[in-house]
Amino acid sequence: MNSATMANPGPNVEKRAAFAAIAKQHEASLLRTAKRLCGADNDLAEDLVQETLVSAYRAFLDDRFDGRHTTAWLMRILTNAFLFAKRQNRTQSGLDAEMLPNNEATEGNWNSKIPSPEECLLQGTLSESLERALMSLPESQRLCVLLADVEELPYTEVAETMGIPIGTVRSRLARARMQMLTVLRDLKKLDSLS
Amino acid sequence: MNLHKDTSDSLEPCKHMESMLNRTADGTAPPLMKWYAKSHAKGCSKCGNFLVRITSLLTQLKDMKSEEMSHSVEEKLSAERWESLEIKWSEVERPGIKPG
Repeated sequence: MNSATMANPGPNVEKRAAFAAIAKQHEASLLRTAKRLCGADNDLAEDLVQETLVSAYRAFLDDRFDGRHTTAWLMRILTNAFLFAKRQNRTQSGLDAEMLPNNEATEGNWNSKIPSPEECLLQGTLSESLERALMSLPESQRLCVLLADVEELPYTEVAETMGIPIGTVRSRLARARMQMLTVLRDLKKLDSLS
Repeated sequence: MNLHKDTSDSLEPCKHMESMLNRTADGTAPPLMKWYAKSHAKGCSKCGNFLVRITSLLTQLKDMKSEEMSHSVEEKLSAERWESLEIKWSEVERPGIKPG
């Protein structure tokens, strides 16, 4: 464990140590997901993970975490933070605010920096066709794919994380996969022409 | 037997099969659904192609994670980020102070 995480823990020494262990254990998967949500902006992805771990620690201290499905719990906080940021920035992103879950949002000063998938493509930062196909998806679908197909969370946990019924998870996944197959086919055609 | 011959580069499976094929590919289909979807896909080139493509896509998506975990250094927050987190966690521990 990083010794820095244990400095000045005050009277909550045991809780701080327990939460730091959780944070360390899930740091990689949170960062992976945040980077795919944020496109090429690594600083923004790290901001998002940091904000997630602060919000999660607040809930942890308040005993609002029941100790089950830790990955889903942290992903839900990350997702809410991301969606809240996009909602704040929706005039640029074109995101439909009505599709956002009505959970408590987190605060942050990074929400105006999220690039759209189109910006990521224009920046040339998404070289692999799979990444491009993933980034072509609307956020609601991309989140489903990241949680279910990349991080391999069970559909029940994806539904809980996103605050939507399991049937909606399935239908979003079906639409997302079809969209990705279409993008991959089109990219292959373009490659063969060039 | 060939129920529906695929003559274009269309990706669309038979409409009533899409959900079953997705669930077969991602492993969430119950046994009977899986059997039915695979049987249909054997005789329908559109659905057969779709099942192959969707299974391959899912394999690639799963591989993204395992490749990242095996390649290079695993994703980590920087030391500066952890220091900042430590400060914010200390603020959270103090009632009435909201972390900035």
